[in-house]
Amino acid sequence: MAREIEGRVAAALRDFVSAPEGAPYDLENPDGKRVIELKTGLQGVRDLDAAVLGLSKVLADQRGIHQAYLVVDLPRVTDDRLRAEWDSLHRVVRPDVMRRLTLIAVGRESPWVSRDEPVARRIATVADAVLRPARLVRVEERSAPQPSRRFFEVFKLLLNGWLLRSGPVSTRYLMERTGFSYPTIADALRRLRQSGEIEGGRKRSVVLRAFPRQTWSELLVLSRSIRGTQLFADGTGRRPDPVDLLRRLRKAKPYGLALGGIVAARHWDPRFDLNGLPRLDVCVSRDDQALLRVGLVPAKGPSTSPVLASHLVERADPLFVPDPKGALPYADPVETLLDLHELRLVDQADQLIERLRARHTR
Amino acid sequence: MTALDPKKLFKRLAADIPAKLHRHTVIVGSLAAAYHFRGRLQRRAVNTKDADIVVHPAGDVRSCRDMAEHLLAEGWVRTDNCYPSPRAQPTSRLRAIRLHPKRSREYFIELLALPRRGQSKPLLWTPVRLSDGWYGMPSYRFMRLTAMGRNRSKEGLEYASPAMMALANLLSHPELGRQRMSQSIAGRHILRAAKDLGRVLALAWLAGPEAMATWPEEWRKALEASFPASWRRLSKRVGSGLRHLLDDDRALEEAHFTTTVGLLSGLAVTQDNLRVVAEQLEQDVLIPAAIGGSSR
Repeated sequence: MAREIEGRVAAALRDFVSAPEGAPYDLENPDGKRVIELKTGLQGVRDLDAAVLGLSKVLADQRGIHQAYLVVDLPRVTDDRLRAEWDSLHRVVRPDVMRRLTLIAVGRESPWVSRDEPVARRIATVADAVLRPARLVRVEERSAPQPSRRFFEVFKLLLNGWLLRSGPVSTRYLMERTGFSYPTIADALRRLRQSGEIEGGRKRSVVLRAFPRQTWSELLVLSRSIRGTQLFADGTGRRPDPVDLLRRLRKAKPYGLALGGIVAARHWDPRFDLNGLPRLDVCVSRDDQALLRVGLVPAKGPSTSPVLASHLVERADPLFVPDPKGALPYADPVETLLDLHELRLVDQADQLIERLRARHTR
Repeated sequence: MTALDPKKLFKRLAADIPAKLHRHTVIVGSLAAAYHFRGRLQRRAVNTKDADIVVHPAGDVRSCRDMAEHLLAEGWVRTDNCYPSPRAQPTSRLRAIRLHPKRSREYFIELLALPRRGQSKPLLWTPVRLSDGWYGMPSYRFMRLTAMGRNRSKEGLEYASPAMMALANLLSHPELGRQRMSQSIAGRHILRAAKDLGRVLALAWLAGPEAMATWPEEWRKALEASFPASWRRLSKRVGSGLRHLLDDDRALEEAHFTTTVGLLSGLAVTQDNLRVVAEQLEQDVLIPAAIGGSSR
C-alpha cells in the first residue's frame, strides 16, 4: 500500500520520482535538491515528533538537500495542535535545518502547511487527493473485513521471528504454531503482502521485510480487544502490591500462564530501563481465569488501580519461554512489547526492539 | 468501646504490673493485635473495651493472685461485675477478675489462666482467693496456643502473635453456634463466633499474604507442641467455622461489623473485601495447614 501511494504521488507531481532503494526519504526531484517523505499511519504528535527528528537528521547530514517536505496523515490532530507542536520543534532542532524542512498535514478539511509557498501547496493538494481515497479504502477494509484476531496471531508470530532474527518461515510452520488452517494463513499472508510488509524467501517461506509499522500500528489500536485484556484489582482492599502478587504467582505456578510486561522485558533485556513494578502483566493460554481469582477481582472504573492485567494468547503454541530458574515462564517479545505500549512505556518498547535485534545479529 | 492508643496502654500496663510478674503475662486479643500492627494502622487508636492478660504457666494461681493484689493496692478498681464469692465452689458462680485503672473507666484488664496441657473442655474456671474472697480465672482450651511464639514489646511486656491468635479463634469455633455476646457492641448483640472469626479475618487482612505464608508451619509446630495427641485432627478442622461463616451472609455481616468498629475501624474494608481475604486465607493457609496435618 505504501509503495502504491508513493507511486501515485510521484506520478501526480511529475517532477518527483521514487528515491533509490535504502534512501531515507520516499521521493526526490531529479537534482536531489528537494525530497519528500510520506508518513501515513501515524498515531499522534509523538509519532510526528519522531518523523520530524528523523528527517532533520537527514538534512543535517545531507547539505545538498535544499528543502525536504514531510507529508503526514494526521486527521485527528487539530491545526492548532499541529502549529503548537511545530513551534515547539523549532526550539529543539537547529534553525538551519528547520529552514529547510516543511511540514504538510493532510487528511483534514484542508491541508495544513508550515510554509505557505507554491511547491508545498502543490504537494499538499496532490498528497491529499491521493491519500483521501486510500484512507477510505483502509476504512472500508476495516469496517467490512477488519483484520481478525487470527490475522494478528499470524502477524505476531512473524514479528516474533523478525525480532529474534530466526529467519524466513514456511506456511506449514505458521499452521503448526497457530493451529489455524491453510486458508486462514494464506489470507493473513495475502494481507501482509498487500501492505508491502512481507517478502518471500526460499521454498515459499516468508519473512517480514522490515519493522512492520503499518500493521503494528493497527495492532496497537486494537490490542486490548484482540488480546482479550482483562484488568484485575486487589479484592482485599489492601494497597495494590504487584511485587507480592508476583511472589505468590511464582509460588503457585499456575498452569498456562506466563509473565509479560515489565517482568518479561527485564528477562529479554537485562538493561531494561525502569525501576519498580507498577503493574503485573501475564499472558494466559486459555480463558480460565480461575487461577487468577484468589485475591483478585475485576477492576471497575478508572479510579481502581489494577494490580494485574491478563492477556489471552490464542495460538496452538503460545511461545512461552521457560525460566532457567524454574519459576514461571516468560511471554514472547511481541506480547511483551504490546504490554509495554499499554503501559505507555513507548520509549522502553522502542529500545527493547533495538536491543533484541542487536543481540540476535548473525 | 473506647479508642485507646495501644503503645500508651502497653506502657501503662508495663508500669502498673509488677516487673517480677512481667514474665508470667502475655497480652492477647485486640490490644495485642493493635500493638503488633500499629505501623499498618498508622498508629490509629484501637477500639476496644478490655485488655486480656493471660497468666502463665498453666495453673499458676499464685502469680495471678499476686498480680491482682498488687494492682488493687495500686488503686485499680474492680468493675461492676467483679465481686468476690465466699466459697470456691461451685466455680460457675465465680466472677472473673476485671479491674479498671485508678481514676479511669475507659477500659479494664481481665486476667485469664493459661490452660493446662490436656484440657479438653472449651472453658474451665480456676478458683483464686484474694484477700476479700474467691474469684475465678477462666482458661479457654485453645488459649494455650497464644503462649507459643510470643513477641516482646519495647515496653517489656510480651504479647501473642497474630498467627496464634488467629489459630486459637479458628479452633474455638468449628461451627457458628448460637451463643451471642452478653455485652453489646455498638448496640448490637453479636454472635460470639462471628466476632471471633471476624477477628481472624481482621488479623489476616492486616498481616497480608507475605506474613500469612509462614502461618501453616507456625500452626503445625504450635499444634503439635500444645496438643500432641490430637493435633492432626485439629489441623484438618481448623477452617470449618470460617467456611460456615462464608456460607452465612448474616453471620458474615456481623463479623464484618465487628471489624469496622474494632481493629479495622476507619480503613474502609468492605464485606466483599473480607470475603476475598477469607478466600486467600483458605488458599494460602487453611488448605496447606490441613495437608500438613495429613502428611506427617
